Amino acid sequence: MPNELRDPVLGRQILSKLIPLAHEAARRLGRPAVIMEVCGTHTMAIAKSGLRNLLDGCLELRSGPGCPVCVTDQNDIDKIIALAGRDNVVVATFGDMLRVPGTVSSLEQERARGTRVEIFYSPLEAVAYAAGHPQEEVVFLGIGFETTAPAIALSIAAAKNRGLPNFSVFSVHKLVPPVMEALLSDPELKIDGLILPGHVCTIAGRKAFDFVSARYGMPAVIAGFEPVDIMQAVYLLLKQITGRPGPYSQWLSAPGPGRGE
Amino acid sequence: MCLGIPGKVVTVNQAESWAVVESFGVQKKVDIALVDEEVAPGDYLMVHAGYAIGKINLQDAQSTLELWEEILLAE
Repeated sequence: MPNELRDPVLGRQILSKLIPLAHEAARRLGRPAVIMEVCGTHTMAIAKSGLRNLLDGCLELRSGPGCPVCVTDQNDIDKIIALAGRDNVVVATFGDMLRVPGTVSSLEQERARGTRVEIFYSPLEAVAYAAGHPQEEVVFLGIGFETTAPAIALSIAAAKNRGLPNFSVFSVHKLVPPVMEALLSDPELKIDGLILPGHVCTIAGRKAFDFVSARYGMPAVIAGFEPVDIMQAVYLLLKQITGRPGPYSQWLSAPGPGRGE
Repeated sequence: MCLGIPGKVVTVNQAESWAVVESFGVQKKVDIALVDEEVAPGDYLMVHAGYAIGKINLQDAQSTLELWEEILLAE
């Protein structure tokens, strides 16, 4: 990425604009504005750049539901653990599922007891593993949102092409918009704006999120993942919250139909 | 796993639908079947679980920077 999007000098200049605006929003609302980032990648970027602390006291950045691991039902985790305990079965998973607790155990605890759990960065690596271990039944945990589903679908196609009978997927994929819908219809939810994930829009298209503002009147900005991208999203949201929308909206890219549509 | 990681394309094999991308000094072979635009060395890809899910539009990044320049000058 262009390094300017991570440039600390530019970052500080932008911050000097953001902080007074955040204070103005806080005065209007009678409390610090609350902006929620929906996606885990934004959460990571916000933590790494130190933005949360830099804006502490005048703006609250709250993490949203965009972690597929955290929103996986305990029931499903129990099923996965039961699956892992079966003869010949190797559970193949992204690393972050390991510690998620089910009702009585987690994959990590089961692995410590000798259950076969293999960690892969990509489902394609699990397909290669299945090819090399024909006597084992490899079950990949299909956990994720719109961004992960196509990758897992392609790994199923790859396994089929290679004629592998011992690769399967336990699919508990989730869609982001219904999760958002559930969140926004909660009367106890007090947030003032949303930062939406650019890469989900790459797959699902921007229209998938139109309901956020159309139905709930919630300001929302689709943003990239560099610190300057995120500060831009916060800036545009604060402009909307303080009722002074700038003439800037035309700069926001509006991705067309997504690749997953 | 839900993290998207940007990477710069080093080499491409269109026929076999993969590219080697570099991010943060690490090179990794990724599948490019999901990218419907042509991929060339020097492009930036958003990579997710071993698959590139889209090309990163550097023009968008440039517009973001220009927008900030304008905001910082105007206010």
